[in-house]
Amino acid sequence: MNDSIIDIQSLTKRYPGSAMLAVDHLTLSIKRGEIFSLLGPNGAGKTTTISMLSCLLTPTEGDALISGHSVTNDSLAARRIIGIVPQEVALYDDLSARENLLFWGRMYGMQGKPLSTKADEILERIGLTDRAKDRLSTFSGGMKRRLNVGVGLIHSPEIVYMDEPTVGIDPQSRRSILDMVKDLNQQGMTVLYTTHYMEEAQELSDRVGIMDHGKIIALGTQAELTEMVGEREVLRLYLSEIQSAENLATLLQELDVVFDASAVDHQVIISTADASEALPAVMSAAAVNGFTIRSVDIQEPNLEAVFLHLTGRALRD
Amino acid sequence: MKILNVAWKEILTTYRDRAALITMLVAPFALTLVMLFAFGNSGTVVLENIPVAIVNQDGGELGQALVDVFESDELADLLEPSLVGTATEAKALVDEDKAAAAVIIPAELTSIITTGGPPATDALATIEVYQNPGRTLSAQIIAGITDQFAGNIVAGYTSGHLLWETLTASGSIPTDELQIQIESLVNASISNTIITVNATEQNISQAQSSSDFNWAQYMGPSMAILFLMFSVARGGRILLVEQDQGTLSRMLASPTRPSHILIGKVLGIVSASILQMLILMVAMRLLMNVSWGPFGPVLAIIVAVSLAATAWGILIGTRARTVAQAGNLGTAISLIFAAASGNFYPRSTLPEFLQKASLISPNAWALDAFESLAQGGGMQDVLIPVIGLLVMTLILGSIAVLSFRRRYASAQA
Repeated sequence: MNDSIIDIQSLTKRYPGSAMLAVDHLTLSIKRGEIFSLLGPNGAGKTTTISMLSCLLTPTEGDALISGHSVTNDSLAARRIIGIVPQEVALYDDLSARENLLFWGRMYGMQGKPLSTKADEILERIGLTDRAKDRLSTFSGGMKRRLNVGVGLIHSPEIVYMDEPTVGIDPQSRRSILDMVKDLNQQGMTVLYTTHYMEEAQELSDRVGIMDHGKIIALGTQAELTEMVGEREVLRLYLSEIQSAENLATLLQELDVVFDASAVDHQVIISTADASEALPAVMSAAAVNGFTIRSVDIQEPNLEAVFLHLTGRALRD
Repeated sequence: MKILNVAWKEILTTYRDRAALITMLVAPFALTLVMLFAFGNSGTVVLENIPVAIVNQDGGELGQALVDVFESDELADLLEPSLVGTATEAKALVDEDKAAAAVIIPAELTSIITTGGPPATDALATIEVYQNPGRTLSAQIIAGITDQFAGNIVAGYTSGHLLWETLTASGSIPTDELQIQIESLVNASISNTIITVNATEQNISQAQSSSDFNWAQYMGPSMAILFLMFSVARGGRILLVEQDQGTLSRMLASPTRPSHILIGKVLGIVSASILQMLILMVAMRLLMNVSWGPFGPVLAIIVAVSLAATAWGILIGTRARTVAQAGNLGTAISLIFAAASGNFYPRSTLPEFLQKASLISPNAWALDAFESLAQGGGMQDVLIPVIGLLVMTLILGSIAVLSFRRRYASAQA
């Protein structure tokens, strides 16, 4: 018996007027009951993939089956099965938290007592029971994000797509959402989660697909992926805001002890065989060239190192 | 169910938006008040001191008799006559809106009418009444008085000449004596004219409620329609706002057909519009004593104009690319429609080509209907405008649906 709930077959999207493929012949299966993360930098094609799987964008080529229903030929049936948590908060500011839940529940065919009970249950789960009657316009960003997730769950979908649900959120709300994802998964819900936060993918996922330029460049469990980079460790150097991380990364790339170096924000992320051994050479090269390192992290092999290894760039490039 | 859900959400969010409420309810009410303070009154039209310019080119008794009618004590409260030297001057006063009408009495009126001989078959003389189209009722009153006077003259003239024919044929009365008899008959006609004018004034007073053009009754709904177009343009913009804030995508990702989403939105906007018009109608009635007319025809117009205006709004929303573009386009169209259709003055005063060209707008059809009601019309008088609005809804709505389906084709079931 096939235990996959999402079967993606050569899914491709080219936007009109663009020479590049936003999603390039993506083929993938997601198993029933797993948390699958699509990890990749901005512009990798994660949201376009989710949009096609949500039946919002027509694929240029290929198809996807959601629990056996084609997103191109049987989209109404496919849409009944999925719940969506979009990247941006997609709710009505002039409605209260409860009114939002009731509105979206009705859009999925729910009504009456079951809908009312489910709305209360969701409000409890996302910690907004005491604000149920308040209009969304009075909510903080984090509270809106939590409700955004709650609305995606109102009709108890078999699969929920979460498209970077924690972007720009406070730590407390972020923790709440991550715990909710794990909790839902334990109750049997399949979760397709996109993020460019390596830590979230590591914490949540049964399997991870690393995406870049519209393609899956690596796929597997976290252990399988980190094996790809062997015993490589990651050195993360923090610079002051006035210094150019790009210049330092270019400089350090020349060192023998450095496999890859990439700049993101005011950090330089280095992939190396032995971080303790490489550190003196790195610090020395930085000092000689006038760079002041404010602090250093040494990390075990992780998905960041995998991405760096595969693309030569940091995840948040 | 989903259609009603979308519609209800639309009404709820519209009436919770303070800015929208100002545009929908406060602004039209305030502007009506301002317009009535500036140009009219807040209830029925009271007719008094109607300025009338009179040119008496006749040197005889009949011309003077007509002047006397206009200057009589009986009509002193109703009319404010002024004698003017030439027809050109009198017409200029009308053109400058300083007179409701000019009455031009032709030269030799008395001598033409009182000359003996057989009765004439063609008009011997014409009294011209040059009317001000902006003062329809006042001008009609002046024309009515003149008609009444002329009618009595004709009656006297005919009787006189019949008598002349009869007596001349019998040869029993000398010609000089006959001339005196005719003049006395004409004079009797003049006396009768004065008496009849009194009666005419009473008739006008009684007829006011049915044949009067009620400026307030026109201006109230006119301002409501003006702002209905603004609020509906906002309604059309909501499609793009929802697209920007992601709620439209979220709806399209639910198991709901795009056509149902569009129908729900249209239903919501139309319902909000009808509610807006009804609130304004009741508020103007209660607070300003301004009636829009009999409820049945008014409701028919409100429903039809709300549908047509919504069709325009949705069409703009489905054709524009951005919220700003839809907003600018909606505002421009609303203003052009208002100016061209006569939202600030009776449509009958517009040039004919503009009256026809402006029928592209819901304003024009609705204002035609309200103008009929303001002149005492009923359901039969608003049927054609209502049908015009429904046809407009059908055409624009079909184009809007096609545009919407093309834009969101990928979400079709």
